[in-house]
Amino acid sequence: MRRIILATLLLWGITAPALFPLDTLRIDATLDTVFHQVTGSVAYKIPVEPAAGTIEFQLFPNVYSSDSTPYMRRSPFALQNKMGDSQYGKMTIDSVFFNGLNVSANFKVEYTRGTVALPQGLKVAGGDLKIFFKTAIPSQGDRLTYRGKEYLLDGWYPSPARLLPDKSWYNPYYGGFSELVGDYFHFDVSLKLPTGYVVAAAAPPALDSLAESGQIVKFFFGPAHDFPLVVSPFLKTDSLDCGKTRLRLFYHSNEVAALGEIRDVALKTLEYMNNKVGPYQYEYLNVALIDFSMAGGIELPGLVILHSGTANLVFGRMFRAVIVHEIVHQWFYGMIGSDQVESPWMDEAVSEFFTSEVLEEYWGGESNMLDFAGFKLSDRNLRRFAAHFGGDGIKIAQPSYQFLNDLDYFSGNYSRGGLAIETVDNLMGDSLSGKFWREYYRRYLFQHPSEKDFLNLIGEIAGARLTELLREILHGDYNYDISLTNLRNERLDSLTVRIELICRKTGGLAFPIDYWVFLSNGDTLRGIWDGTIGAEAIEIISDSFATGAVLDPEQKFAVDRDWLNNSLLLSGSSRPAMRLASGLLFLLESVLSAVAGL
Amino acid sequence: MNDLRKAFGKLIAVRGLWLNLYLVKALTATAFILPLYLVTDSYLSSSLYSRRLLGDWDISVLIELFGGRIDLVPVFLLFGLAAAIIFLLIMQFLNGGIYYLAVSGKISPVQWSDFWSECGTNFKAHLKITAMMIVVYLVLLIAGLIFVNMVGMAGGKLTGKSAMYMAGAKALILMVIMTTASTFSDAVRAAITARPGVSFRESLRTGSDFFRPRVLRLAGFYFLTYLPFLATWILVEILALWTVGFLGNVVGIFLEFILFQICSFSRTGQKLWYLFFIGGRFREAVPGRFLPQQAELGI
Repeated sequence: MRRIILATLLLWGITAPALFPLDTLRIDATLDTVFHQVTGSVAYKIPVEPAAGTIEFQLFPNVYSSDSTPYMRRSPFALQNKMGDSQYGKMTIDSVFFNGLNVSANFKVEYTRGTVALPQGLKVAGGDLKIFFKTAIPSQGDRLTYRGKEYLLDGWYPSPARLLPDKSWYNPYYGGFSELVGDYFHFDVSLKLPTGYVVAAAAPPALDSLAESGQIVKFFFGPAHDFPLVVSPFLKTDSLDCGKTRLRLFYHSNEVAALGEIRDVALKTLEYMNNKVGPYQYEYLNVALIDFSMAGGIELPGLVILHSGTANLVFGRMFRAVIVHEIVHQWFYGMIGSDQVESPWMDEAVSEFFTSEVLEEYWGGESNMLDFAGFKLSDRNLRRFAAHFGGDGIKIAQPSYQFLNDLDYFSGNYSRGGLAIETVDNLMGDSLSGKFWREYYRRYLFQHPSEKDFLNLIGEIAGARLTELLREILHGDYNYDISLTNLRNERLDSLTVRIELICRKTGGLAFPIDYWVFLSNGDTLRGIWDGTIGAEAIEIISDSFATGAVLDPEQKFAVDRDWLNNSLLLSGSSRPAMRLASGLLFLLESVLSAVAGL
Repeated sequence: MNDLRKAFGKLIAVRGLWLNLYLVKALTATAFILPLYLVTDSYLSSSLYSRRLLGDWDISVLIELFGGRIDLVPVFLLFGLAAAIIFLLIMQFLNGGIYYLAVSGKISPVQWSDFWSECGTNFKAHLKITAMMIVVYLVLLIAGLIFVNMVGMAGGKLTGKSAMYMAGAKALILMVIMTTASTFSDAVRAAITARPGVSFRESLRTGSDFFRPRVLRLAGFYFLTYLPFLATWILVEILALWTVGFLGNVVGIFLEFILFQICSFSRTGQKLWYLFFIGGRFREAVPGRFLPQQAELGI
């Protein structure tokens, strides 16, 4: 059945150039482990006549070409390069041929953007482009790097720029925090490398043969928008079936202890995402453990990179969250593409949201991040904490290169973004939520939906008001606070009481908000505040006094910055503060004992 | 072991001092926690969400409390730092009397006039040792962290419980290093007490001469006195969780508070116990001014 689906998709891809403009990318390359470089060629067909009469492609390794590139200026690796005897990365184009004609003279490079102007009158559609390249692999990089004999190769070949439906080229601007963007292809990759190396890729090699002074491995994989590799002579492999997917693990001998956790988490994440969103489309899910990239985890199509050194965080539970997050990316980034440069929230924020969903489903909602000596913390609450650290004026939906530092990027894009998606998902409710994600998958599988597509689909499924709410959160200043500022009882006569509560909100959120009023007779009155204006007094006539009230009782508005002020209890209790003070007193006494001995 | 038993007997004999020292610690801490209580109570008392704190140490409440008021965190950390500095100064004053009792062994009954006199006489010397030890602790902490991280290179690949055990092992190594330094500090303080008139350098030498050949034994006995406290601490944590989880009301919180204070009280006792032990050992090795009067035999 899977083969039929893939064959159908392939056929659809070939016959629908607007969706799959470039169907097969042939890469023939050699990895030089002495000089740490890759040389080779990339060949593909240009399916339609580009609007500008030029052909564009991406030279991602140039982001590592100096400490002062837009990418490296925001990167911690720049400092390391200055400190050590490091090799910068660079992609050199030796020659470009179009239909056998050498057009290298018309080739220009501007940072990561390669452009070839073709002679006038030349028919471009259907023509064959072949690019000969040489990539110097940087010693300090996040997704293209090496250490000793081990390599992480992402963006290692000249990748075609995206051809948009209006036939213009989209060549992303790789500033700080930008991830690779590409169209969907079928990859036909041949890599020559020294013998004894193991290659972790999205699929096992279709052919692994010995050649003169080395081995040649061939891969067929797709549809995917990238084809990265981990190459190392030290990798060991293991595999097991996770339902219809075969999980392949690549690890070092000292990382064996992590494998059980990875298997368990992968199995559960695949199960959840297959059910909630849609089936994982590839035959293999590959996880490679490395410890020489500074990123905690990197999502790549069909391949997840995990930095094994992060395992100790929060007694290993953070590692679990990283595994879930990167596997969720197989859907939101991998199979449902997006523009990671211009709209990074569309993969990161959505993946953060689903990370919490998976963790809650299998490890509970209260303490999936920490459960030790009575201390409890969930991934969701950790996200609420991290959301406070982003600077003012940061928008969730801003392009990756506009984030100025790690705190802004991770807080704004991941944490606030994740809370934004959680808010919308909560407000849709279980049935519409399931419908939305399944439809999003069905409609945009192996495509690149835009923010507009995402918002429109929410509108279709859950109404225009929710679309407006999400648009506002994505582009707003993230200073939302819902609060209940007054609760009053007034006896009107012996039988009736007028209850007044004042609801307030700052920062927008024009959306109905639930409230509950607790009565002295034990009943709970439930109502909805329309939420169209910033503050409103709600009057209720009742036969009992109110003892307390709460706005947004189910905490659907995850973007609300303070959940403490959402409720008012008339008979306030000092017990929480007393317990907190008691605990902190003991903590301070322990510190004093440690400092002064007694 | 016999010495430990004797030292424990002395601890029981000065239980009034033990209680008072604990109270100094508890009152200093309370003075700084009280403002925090008043501030947090105004946010937590009327909120339904804060009730989560009544069952567990639910960190989400603290996130809501401090997340939006991140400026309060450094204020409270400064409060803690101020409390630590004030308590440190008070203890340098009291150390004169405490070490006098420990090294001289004159505890039944305690001569309080001698105690206070010793407090005043050796205040500067104890302050000097503290200043020196702060530097020593910092250097050892940095070196210790580098060491445990080298040890933990393999631990970097661990996950789950294995990672937790490795973290525990690292903490234990650090604790051994810092405790050994602390026993050295005790030896120097004992030297100052036994021979108050000599120079600081001479006291350091005397303390070192006592410390070096006995380092393992001293650290070992420290851990022996620490074990009952550790057991108390673990028991208190379990009982406190059970008490609050089961009762969840003011009674539960009060019982938890009492349990915490029992633990804090036992920590004061543990150190006093150890001081009486090391004081006795020191007097045997370096009697100084506590040399027993020689009886002249009129032969």
